[in-house]
Amino acid sequence: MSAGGERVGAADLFRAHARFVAGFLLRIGVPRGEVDDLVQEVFLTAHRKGGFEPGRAKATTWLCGIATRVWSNRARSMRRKPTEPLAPAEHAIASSQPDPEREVAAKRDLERLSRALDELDADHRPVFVLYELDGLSCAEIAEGLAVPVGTVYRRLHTARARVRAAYERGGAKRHVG
Amino acid sequence: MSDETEPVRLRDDPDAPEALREDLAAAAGAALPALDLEAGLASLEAAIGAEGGGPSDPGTPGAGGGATGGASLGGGAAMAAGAGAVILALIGGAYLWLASDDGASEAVAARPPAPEAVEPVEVEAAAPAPEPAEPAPTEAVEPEPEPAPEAEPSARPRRGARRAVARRPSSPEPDLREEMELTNRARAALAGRPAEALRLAREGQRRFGDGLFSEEREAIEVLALAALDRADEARPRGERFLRRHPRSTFAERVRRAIAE
Repeated sequence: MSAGGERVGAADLFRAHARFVAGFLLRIGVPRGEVDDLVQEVFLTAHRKGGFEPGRAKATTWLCGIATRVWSNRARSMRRKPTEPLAPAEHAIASSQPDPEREVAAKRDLERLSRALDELDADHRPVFVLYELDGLSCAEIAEGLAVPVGTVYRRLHTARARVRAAYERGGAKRHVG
Repeated sequence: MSDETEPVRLRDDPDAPEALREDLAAAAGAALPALDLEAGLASLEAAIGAEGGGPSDPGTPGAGGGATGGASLGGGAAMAAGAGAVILALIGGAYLWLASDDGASEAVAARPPAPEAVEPVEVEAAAPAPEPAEPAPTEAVEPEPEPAPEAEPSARPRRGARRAVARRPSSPEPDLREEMELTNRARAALAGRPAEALRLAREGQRRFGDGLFSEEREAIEVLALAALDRADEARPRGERFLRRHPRSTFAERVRRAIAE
């Protein structure tokens, strides 16, 4: 990585953050078969933008903003809402000691969360994922998505209400492995 | 906006459904997906090299703008020019290696067209004052999420790469370059211009028949028809595609398109 305010080129960004971007794309509902393609598009777009200039936004936030717009555009062009599950096989819970029962339970949990996230469209899902799963602040999300922070709050509020409602409707009890 | 004014994250909110809190915690701790970094980086470098190496849009919302050419690849030159260079073309998620006698010019000839409208303008009007619905005065300071850790490049070859290598021609004939370029254009048009994608895919089938990229063109035709809401045409073609190419890298997309 470059330091001292120098721009970071696409290749360096790719090395450092490609997996993060791939994970983010999966979380916002990109079908697994399209992830590689979209990862390429994200970093190619980053290159076209002149690379990342360290500043207010973090590189990951900036890349998430690009990824969101790339996917949103793709999803709209395909006239569909993201509906891909959270790819539980690839999101196997990080654990130092493999436990098949826990993995099955974790997979079930992620599928349940995926179903709830399906309530969200391409505008709301990334905000929910970035805030609730990736732990970004609303200001950081606004920076990354290049939208006003008020828009982030509004989308987050709507997204949380929908996800909570989905869980309350489902009344699901967690399966303990 | 400071963290103190932000809503409590649902996984820390005792009022949120217990199952939701637990699921969010599990998802947040989930491992990142495996990714073939080496192949991906090679493909990226090829695409950048094919574009001439320089950024076409130096404006960088959120990160400052105005740079011109500051995004040089950190990992070496993108596409080496000269005899014996190798072209790595990204085609529908599969990597295709083609031997080349003229790396630089070949790379330009084979480059995928820049996707249009990759960065749609945010049309939502500026929001009114922030409306934190669930203020969290007692929320603890949250740790900054850190970028993904570096991953070891996977030694596992990509499925698409294996398939493509098996079909590698001995030399890039002019017709092959044209076929590849036309297919790339069709593929790029899928992102927003399905009618053009359909036209180009059919033109490719007419000109090149059962050529090297016929499988991708068939898939593009199905996806374009589906995007145009021409399900009656998309479905039989998609079913035929799945019968002919059940293990295609495009099979899942085709299956999904005709199921919608």
